Amino acid sequence: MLNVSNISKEFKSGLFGRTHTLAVNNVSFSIKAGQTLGLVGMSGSGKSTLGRLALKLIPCDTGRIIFNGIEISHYTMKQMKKLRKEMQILFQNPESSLNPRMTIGKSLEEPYRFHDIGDKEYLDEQIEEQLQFVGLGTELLNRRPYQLSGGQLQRVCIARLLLLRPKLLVLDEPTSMLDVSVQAQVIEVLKNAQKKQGISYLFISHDLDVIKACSDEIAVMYKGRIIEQQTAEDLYKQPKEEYTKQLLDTFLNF
Amino acid sequence: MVNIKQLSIIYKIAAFILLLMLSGAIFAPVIAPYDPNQVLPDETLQSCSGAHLLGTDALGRDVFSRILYGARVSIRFAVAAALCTMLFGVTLGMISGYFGGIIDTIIQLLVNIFQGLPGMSMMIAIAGVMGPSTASLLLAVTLTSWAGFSRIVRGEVLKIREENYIEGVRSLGASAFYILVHYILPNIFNSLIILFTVRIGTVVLSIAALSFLGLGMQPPEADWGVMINDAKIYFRSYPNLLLAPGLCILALCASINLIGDALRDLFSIQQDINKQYL
Repeated sequence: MLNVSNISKEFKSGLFGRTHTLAVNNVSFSIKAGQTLGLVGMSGSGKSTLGRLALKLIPCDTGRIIFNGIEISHYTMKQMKKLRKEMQILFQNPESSLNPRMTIGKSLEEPYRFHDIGDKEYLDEQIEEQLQFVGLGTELLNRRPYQLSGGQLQRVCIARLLLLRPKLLVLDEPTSMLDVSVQAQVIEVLKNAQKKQGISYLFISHDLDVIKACSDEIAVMYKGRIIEQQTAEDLYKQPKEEYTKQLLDTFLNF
Repeated sequence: MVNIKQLSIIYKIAAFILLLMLSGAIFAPVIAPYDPNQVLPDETLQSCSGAHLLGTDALGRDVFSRILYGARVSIRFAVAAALCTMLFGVTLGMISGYFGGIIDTIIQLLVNIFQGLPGMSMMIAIAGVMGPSTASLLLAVTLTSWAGFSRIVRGEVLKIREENYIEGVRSLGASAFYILVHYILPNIFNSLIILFTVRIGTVVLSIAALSFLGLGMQPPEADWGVMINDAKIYFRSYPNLLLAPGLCILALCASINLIGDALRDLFSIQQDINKQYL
């Protein structure tokens, strides 16, 4: 499904770009169709950057990205446009994920503006179906983002992404801004969507419980590198790296 | 939570003055007792009276009628000039802020150059070289004021550009044009309204100054700047000729600026409320 090999990304900042930060350092991973790869690590370890690199939302410095058998590392933004509907991202903060000046209905119609999917009737039907799928009603369509709760907004965002029938979703800490009961609901929705549409997830989180509940495989990221990748069970039973042990310990003690 | 009713009384007075002036300008043909350019040789330099509310000038033209028609000229031109400036400044500011990189550098270089040039001298130079006409005035005002505008807009865009919803819609496949029109523009609209309002006040002043110097509106057009220019030789003996248009300019500019402030207060409070709900 997605095959990433040896990608790196360096950010330059400061006067004349003299401060270099190697956010992602020679990372490789792959995700099989319909499976979830969990990505854990402390903040600043490069998880989010890696997610955006995989979707080509930001260009990588070196390395190859193969999506669905096509190498996309050298695709221009224009070439990417056709692939955009197959690979999407869900953000951490649902409150800033929708345009505050647009009604929910308008935001949900947007995927159809950029991709030729169907006519108006089909569109309305689809929106209703997806809203129902994420557990929301059509009465929300005329409201604006600030009138909805965080959990509702995150579900609207999920519905908006599902409308495009993506093959790969990067979930960038999708639950960390929500309270625990809502977290469970959102994860349930995501799991159902995966079952129904066979989507692959790259699930980024620092919450090990959430990751464990969702992932088939888990990769641990530390200072821009993936230091360990195992199936979820194995990782919890016998972590290979010292850092992973520490990470698990701190979490269990907490 | 502060709403429109809780605004200071000064803002309400400003709004009242502005409304008064607007209606005066709109209904000038109905209200004005005389044709603004009608010369009455027997009634020159009269002081205030029932027949001539604000007296007459050296050619016997009714000052009150000229003030009313002058409001038309000033407001119409100020709105047109502010719109031109907005169009130019906002477009360049949005492009500069959104795309960044080399485009940003070039536009900001231009902005720096234009901001570095003294505005009034530039305006006089442009209006002087091109000759007095509405088009040259419009160009003079636009060229000397777009830079500040585009800088403010750029700042606003830079702030919004980093929001998740921009990145989100970009990953949905939106074009830069779509994002600029549907995402950036509506989100900086409040700031634009305030800038626009304040800008109108400044333009009224600039245009009066240019007219006074003989580079703006041309006599016998009933314009406030032209009237002040005509009155300057008589003002010791007939101060009403000078005070009437002068006070009108003052009142219009002050009330527009105050309304700009009021709008800023209202909008900023509303933004806070939005945040509170989030």
